[in-house]
Amino acid sequence: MVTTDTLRARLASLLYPDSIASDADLPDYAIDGVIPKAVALPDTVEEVGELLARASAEGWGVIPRGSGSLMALGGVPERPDVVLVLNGLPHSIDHVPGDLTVTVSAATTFEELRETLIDAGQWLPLDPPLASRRTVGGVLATNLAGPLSLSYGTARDMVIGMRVVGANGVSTMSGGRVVKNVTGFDLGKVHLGALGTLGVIIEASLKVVPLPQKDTTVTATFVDLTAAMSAARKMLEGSASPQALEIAMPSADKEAGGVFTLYARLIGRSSGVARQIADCTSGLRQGGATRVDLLEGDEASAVWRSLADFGWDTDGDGLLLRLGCLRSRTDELAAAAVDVARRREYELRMLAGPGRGVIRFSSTGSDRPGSTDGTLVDDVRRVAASVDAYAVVERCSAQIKAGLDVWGNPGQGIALMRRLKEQMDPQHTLNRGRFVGGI
Amino acid sequence: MNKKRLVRELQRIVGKGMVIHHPDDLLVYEYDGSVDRGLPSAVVFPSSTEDVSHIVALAHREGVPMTPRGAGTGLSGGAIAAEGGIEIAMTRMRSILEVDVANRTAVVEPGLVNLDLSTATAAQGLFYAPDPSSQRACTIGGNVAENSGGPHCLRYGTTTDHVLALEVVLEDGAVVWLGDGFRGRPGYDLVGAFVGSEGMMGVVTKVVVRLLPTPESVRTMLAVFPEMDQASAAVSSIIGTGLVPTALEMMDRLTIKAVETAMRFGYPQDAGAILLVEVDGLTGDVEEAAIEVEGVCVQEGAREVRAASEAVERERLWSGRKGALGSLGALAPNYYLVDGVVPRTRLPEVLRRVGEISSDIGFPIANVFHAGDGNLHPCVLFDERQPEHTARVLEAGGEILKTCVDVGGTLTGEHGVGMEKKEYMPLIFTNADLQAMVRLKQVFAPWGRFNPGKVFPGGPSCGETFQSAAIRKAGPGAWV
Repeated sequence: MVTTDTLRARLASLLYPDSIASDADLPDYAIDGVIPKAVALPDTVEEVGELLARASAEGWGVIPRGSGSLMALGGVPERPDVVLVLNGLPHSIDHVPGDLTVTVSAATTFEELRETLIDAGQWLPLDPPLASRRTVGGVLATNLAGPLSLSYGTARDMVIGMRVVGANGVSTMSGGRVVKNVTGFDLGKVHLGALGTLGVIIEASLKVVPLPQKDTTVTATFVDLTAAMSAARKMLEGSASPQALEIAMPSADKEAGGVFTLYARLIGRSSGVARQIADCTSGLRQGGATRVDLLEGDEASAVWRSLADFGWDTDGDGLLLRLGCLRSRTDELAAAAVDVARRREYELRMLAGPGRGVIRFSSTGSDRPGSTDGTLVDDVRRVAASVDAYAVVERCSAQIKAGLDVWGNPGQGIALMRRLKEQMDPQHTLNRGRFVGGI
Repeated sequence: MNKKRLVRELQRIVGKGMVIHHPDDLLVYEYDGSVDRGLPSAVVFPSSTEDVSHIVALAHREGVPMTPRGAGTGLSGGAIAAEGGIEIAMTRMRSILEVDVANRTAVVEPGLVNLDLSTATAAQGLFYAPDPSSQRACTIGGNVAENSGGPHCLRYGTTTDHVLALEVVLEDGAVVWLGDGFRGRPGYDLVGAFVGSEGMMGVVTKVVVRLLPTPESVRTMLAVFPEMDQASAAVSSIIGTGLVPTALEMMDRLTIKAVETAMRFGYPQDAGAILLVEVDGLTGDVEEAAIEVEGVCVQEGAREVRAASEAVERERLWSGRKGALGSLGALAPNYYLVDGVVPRTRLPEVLRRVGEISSDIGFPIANVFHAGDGNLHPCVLFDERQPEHTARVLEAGGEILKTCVDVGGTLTGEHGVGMEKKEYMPLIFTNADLQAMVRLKQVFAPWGRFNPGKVFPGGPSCGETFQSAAIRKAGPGAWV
């Protein structure tokens, strides 16, 4: 294990003094309460390469970081030697509207990218949590999808090329800048959502699409989850189905309201969206909605931003779980989880995407309210297992995290995943202990 | 193990009739849709995952190279036994095991013919989106290996976007599942890593695919332009209006002549280019979009726009495009098909350069291509019986690929690298890039038994064919 003094001496030989955080600043970079020995803030990709090469050669642990917004995601770091802060690298956006592609450096903020695209009448239909304050690299490395993934897919469906600095410090690329490409193996795929455990994303090329003519939101209120879910199901099966559809439950407590709000986002050409609105509103009314409203413009954007940020937008040690299953089993999963929450009196909010088979639960209350047997995480995971769902703890307090594997059971693919880690980062330099199966 | 014993062992696994080993019979399996050749020692036809597992374990134990094979329609030598050994032909495993309407997925065996899946699910209002031009013959397993595209991938994406999970037999015969019936489970994207690995990582034995709901309305339009540049301008203008059609296909003067000669389709003989545009979606939207497309085409100089909404009529408009490659036989005994991709906005200049290359080498080049996504398919027309012609044609292919790379494009959009383009890989990738790809391959197939001699330049040369050698001469060959 490298000592703090050695580490600092080495960093001083690799980086300019102002690219190394002072002692006083180190606590700002703590992860799960663990303060790193050093923090590097390189200005260039070359410095990232040199630092990683040295780290792998000398056995330091390195934790890549973008804006730092989602550092709560992942296990407790096992070798927190250096936090490698990447948002000081150059920002660059090469957008070719006629090609419907953009090549963007990882340190570029998602917001910068969004504005550039909008100026040219295009967008990237991706709505990850906390998008407005994050870097493109961070968005790709975590690959948490938002409501739009129902119809537009995830970053997986948009990335066409990637440049990565490997754990050995060597920069490599795969794919390219063309939208259709089978030249060489599709290495970019394994870095998406890998939390930087296989390499540090430096640049990516993505497919983009023209801005739609119309983007409208219909909201509806239900007093009963079953009714909300079945109304959603009907909408999803229709030919004029929404581009995003989420059902929110602000509290599991029936007395405190216990209402369910359905949000449907309708994106497309004006005439089609007009028909979607008509189909949706009549379907929702017939389905027992107590109230149906139409939202547009900034008001609608704010609503979808808060749905995308669900569970991440609170300060402190909030607990956030993500469950995923076959879309046909979402209703069952949501009902069972809400039932457990009510019986055990958890303070729980829910956001369910019945079309994409994803449910998030967020709790700001106690993990173990007035009871000694089991915890919220255990309870929800039991429910998840009953419908073959996975359950990830995306965010929780350091105290809770210490006692559990946030990723849950990785399944039989884990043997190959370990081999992949072994091939790409044999020294386990990158983010050790933070990914599935303890990778 | 000598060939006789190998054959006997294989027969023990799959039954006597399911192993081809007589030299005459093997000739059929010596080639695919590309120009390369390679003779296997035996071809074995498994009927179950267990068969495959036993075959692979046997070959692995004996150090015999294995090449998985679907319909053999591939265009880069992917299904050719480049270094001999056995071909594992998956065509007997062609069942649709399950269609899950609620989740819009299907579980199929790899030997299933692509089009048969959409045909089978049509009654449930679902279809399988990737549609390579060979979809009446090519298999889903082959599509997975090559990450096949097709005319409609402009809107719907390629095979990798539609595969959710795979059952795979690894080199030692182990059977593993990659992925789930849904996306999102945490962990590395092993399915994404595997799709497009050109048979080098394992043998696929089951595929879970995503199905899409059949669109409410589809409109196909065929626009005839006097000049190619006008058609190119129309493509840009269509994209500029904010429309992303489901397909945007182009044929040049020579291709039109070939199609007309072979199929008597009624195209104007003096047409410089034909653009096929397809839009789908909600009925009202499709009608509006079709009017826009038509307007743009006329504005850019189209002298005629035909449109169709009914399936039979649409099929007629498509038939010229789909039969284009076959029609080239009317002009020359052989064609050499290049699969380069360029950023769409660079298409006009690249097409001009292709024309210059054609004049330089003295062979006609027909262009039929996916204009929407910049995927060119220049076809160099020649006669392989003429001495020296093949070598010169391959050289022209190399020139075209270099042109594509120079403008920020790449070597292959949908046909794969295979044997055909491996020596060109250094035009795109550095040594380090290729090493990273090798490391990914090592995860799945550390012993290199699957489909050796593909994708990566250099490497062992035993069993190398004369055609590859010719390409090698033309290629830069800098990477060992």
